Amino acid sequence: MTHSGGPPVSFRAVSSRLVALLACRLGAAHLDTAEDAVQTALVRALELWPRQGAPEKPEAWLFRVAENHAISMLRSEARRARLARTHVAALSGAPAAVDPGGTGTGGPALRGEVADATLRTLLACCDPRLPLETQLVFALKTLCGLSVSEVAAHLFATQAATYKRYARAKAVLKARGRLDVAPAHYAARVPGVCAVLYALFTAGHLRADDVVRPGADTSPTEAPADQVHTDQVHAVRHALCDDALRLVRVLAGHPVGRGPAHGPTVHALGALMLLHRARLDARVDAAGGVVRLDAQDRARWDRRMIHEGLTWLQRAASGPHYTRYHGEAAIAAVHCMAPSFEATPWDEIVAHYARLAAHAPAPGHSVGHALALAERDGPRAGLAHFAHIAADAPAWLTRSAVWAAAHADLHRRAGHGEKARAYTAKALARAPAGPVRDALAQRLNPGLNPAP
Amino acid sequence: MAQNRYLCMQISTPHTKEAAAEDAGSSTGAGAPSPGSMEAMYAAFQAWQAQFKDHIVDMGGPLGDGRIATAQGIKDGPFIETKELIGGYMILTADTLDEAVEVARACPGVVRPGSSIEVRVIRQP
Repeated sequence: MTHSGGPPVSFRAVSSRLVALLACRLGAAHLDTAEDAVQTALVRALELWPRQGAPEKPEAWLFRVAENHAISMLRSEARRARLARTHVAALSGAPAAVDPGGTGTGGPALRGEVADATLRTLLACCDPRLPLETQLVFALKTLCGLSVSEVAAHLFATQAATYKRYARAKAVLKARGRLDVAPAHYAARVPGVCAVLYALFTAGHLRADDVVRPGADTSPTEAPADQVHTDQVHAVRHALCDDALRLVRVLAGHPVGRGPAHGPTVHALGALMLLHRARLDARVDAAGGVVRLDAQDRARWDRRMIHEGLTWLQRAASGPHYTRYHGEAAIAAVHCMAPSFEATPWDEIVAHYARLAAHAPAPGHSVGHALALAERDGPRAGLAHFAHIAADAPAWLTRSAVWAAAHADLHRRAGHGEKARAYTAKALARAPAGPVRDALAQRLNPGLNPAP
Repeated sequence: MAQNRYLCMQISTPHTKEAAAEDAGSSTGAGAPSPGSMEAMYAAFQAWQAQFKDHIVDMGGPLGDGRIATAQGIKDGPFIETKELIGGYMILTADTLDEAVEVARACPGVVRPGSSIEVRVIRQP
């Protein structure tokens, strides 16, 4: 009963699956109920399992508690009484059809529908009537199990603004009434789903490049848990990446994800994920700290996954499409194929960044672009690039730890001691405490031992 | 084996926003703990159990609805008007009250805005 390490099943992963399952069965009008029910089940598990021991089939237990809670909530809504009876009849009629601990297929799939419940619900939630950012917020919170503060941090927004988007998405989806989307409508939603999966993957991957969140406040009920959270953070973070990768594979397995319209984009996204995931284990050292690219043991990179990523990248190259996923995957591929940091063909990477800037620009690329220029042409070239784009760079980027750290690094290499020190102080002040800040401190002050 | 046993009661104050939201079972608001946080709390709780296993007599648990038997008869309880609600209990063993309080206080999630823990010695002859 007292084994350590957390619950027997990942709460975040199971929450995603169960919300998707219940949402499919209850419909969009009862999305609230589905979320409430799953949350209630998890709270119950948190209260009971550590004391009494976890059940033999934890996911089935959670599903049963969530489903019972959902039924009782629906029953008690007087004005929906008739609707509730219909749903209860449907729910109690087919308990054996669902295996919540299994593949998460979520009930009978009609011909042409995506079988995976989470992906199906994701497609349903990526409603093109909503702005992309709103689709992202809703999907990340409801289906990917991230908290509002995590989503806000990831999208560089305040918690208040993020919660507003979430509420808006929920209202729009509820008003639609039906959650399921006919396969004919999948195509329009694939870009939104790709954006969600990209955000989910990067949320899992972004450790060394964590940036400080402007305006985010930690509510008192969350703060103590965060301290313990950092100890388990790698297991959780890698799980996010694996979830995203799993879902992109399912998407690529479906005609809409393979066809000429979206196939190249989906495969570029998958390639990107594979090429990063292959190196993720080498990016973390034994103490849980972050290992920079130039110090990583390349023998620990997963060659089989790199090969798969390169295959996906080839498939992404068909057709005229060029998205940020293409460019970012291409850069990852260059790194994966280089035998060492010193042997990296930086001119190729610079060329890819230039192409991204021309055809699929994103402010987040500018730091990588500057650093690549510095590797190829020297630190002053990198600093010149920063100077060139600074005026148009958004505040969330220029006030981030990674922006300051990159400047500190380049100034140090260029021999500008004063500026290097100033930017170093900024970077350390902006970085969240823990392995991220330690890694930064080590990198920016070589020869200085960081405090234990 | 320590000398005394202590009854620890977790008390929540429903008039505070945080406690009221949790009591109402509202889970989709911005303040509700995320699955990730709950997982961390779970691990923290287990770590506490492991660390203080020699002090734990009865893990107890959360308390639900009930009744109150009085000289006038039996009625539903706990009273809705009470400002404080006993949400759960556990029984610890320790040599002193101070020690018991420290162990109880260390239990994750028990002492936070809207929730506190009352520790009372169980008297022996």
